Amino acid sequence: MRGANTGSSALAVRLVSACILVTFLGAFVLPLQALAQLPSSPGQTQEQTPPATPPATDTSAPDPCTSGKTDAKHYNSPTGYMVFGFLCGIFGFIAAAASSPEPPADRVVGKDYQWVQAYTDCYRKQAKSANQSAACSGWALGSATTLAIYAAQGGF
Amino acid sequence: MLPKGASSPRFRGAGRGTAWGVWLSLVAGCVLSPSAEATALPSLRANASGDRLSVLQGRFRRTLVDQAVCDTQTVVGSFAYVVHGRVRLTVETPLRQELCVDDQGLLIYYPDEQRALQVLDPRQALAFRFVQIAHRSSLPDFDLGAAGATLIDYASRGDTLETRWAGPTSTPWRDQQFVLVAVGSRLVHATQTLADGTPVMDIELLDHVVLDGIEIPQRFTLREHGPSGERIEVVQFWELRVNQTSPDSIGPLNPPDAVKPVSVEW
Repeated sequence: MRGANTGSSALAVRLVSACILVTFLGAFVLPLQALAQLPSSPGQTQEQTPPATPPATDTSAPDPCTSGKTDAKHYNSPTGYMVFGFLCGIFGFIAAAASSPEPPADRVVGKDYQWVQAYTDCYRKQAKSANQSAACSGWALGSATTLAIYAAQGGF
Repeated sequence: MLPKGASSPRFRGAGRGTAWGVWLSLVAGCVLSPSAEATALPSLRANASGDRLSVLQGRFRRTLVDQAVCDTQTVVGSFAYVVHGRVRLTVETPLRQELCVDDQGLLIYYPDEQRALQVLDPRQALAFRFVQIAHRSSLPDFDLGAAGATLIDYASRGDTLETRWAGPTSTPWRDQQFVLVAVGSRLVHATQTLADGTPVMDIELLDHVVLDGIEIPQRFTLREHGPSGERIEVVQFWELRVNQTSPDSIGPLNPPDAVKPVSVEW
């Protein structure tokens, strides 16, 4: 009997937590994510323009921002943040927001000054965005799972 | 020893899974016979000449083909690698660039522009993979043992030894497997796969040279299989020198005082 009461209390706490998380997710985090995708100032697009001064010796270098984003998709794995978000909710998102994705230093060998700067900037933005999205997805999934479990146990 | 068709076009693209199946079948059927001897493993690292390598220097030509962004770049220069320490690269083509990575981070100096970039991130230590591969391939276990990987299977026939390793548990590679093929003390092929056998990367090591008793490949081809395309890295080394310490080449990179490195958030 006592165990059942404890279980009901735990479920109630989880339900309240889930509701708070879902509310927070809908009201604050997702808009924040959308904001993160917007240009930070009028006229600035997320796509980095090529270096203002094209390199004299390496004119065949691809757009650094394209390379940075492609490499971020290739080398950065956001799966861990999804799991973290699933298990820890907002803390997973905080961890993703605080993450410092690391571009491969290998890629800057033979690249000019401006290319390296643009590449690292785009890599970090893309990787961090992916981490945050994954954490949010995990968070939403975790909340939904909690609600589903509660509903299955007759909580509603 | 290796299947000659492994790097041919027909092994790439849609038929890759089949190709790998064929390759593994060949390895399983020919190299790993049921009567495979199991005598080579205990001495895998006991007499590894590569353990005596402390400094590796030489010149390099690296061609990187990146299908994802349709880019091909060839870089020529020289390198100096203090094992488990500092890496210095001096790029001559396509532009002049000096790079130094150590436990202090990464410093990139452009002598023509008199500018420098600095990444104060110790995680960047030993970040130039192609230089590390030159060192690691001088070891029959590709230094996987020291990295925390676990040997899960091995077999040998004649002087050919194939070892299979599980990725280090505390790293992002924990769910991956590594297969190494060594002929004698010469590592000739390394493969990295996901747990389901999906190839991640494979390296073919060629043209070994013996320097001070240490076998080092003078050429390798690395194929990295990613969701956005394949990356092929062909690296050639020459004028290799081992265990020669010259402060000018293996010391820290010091740009002129007038050059103030700009910090880059990495």
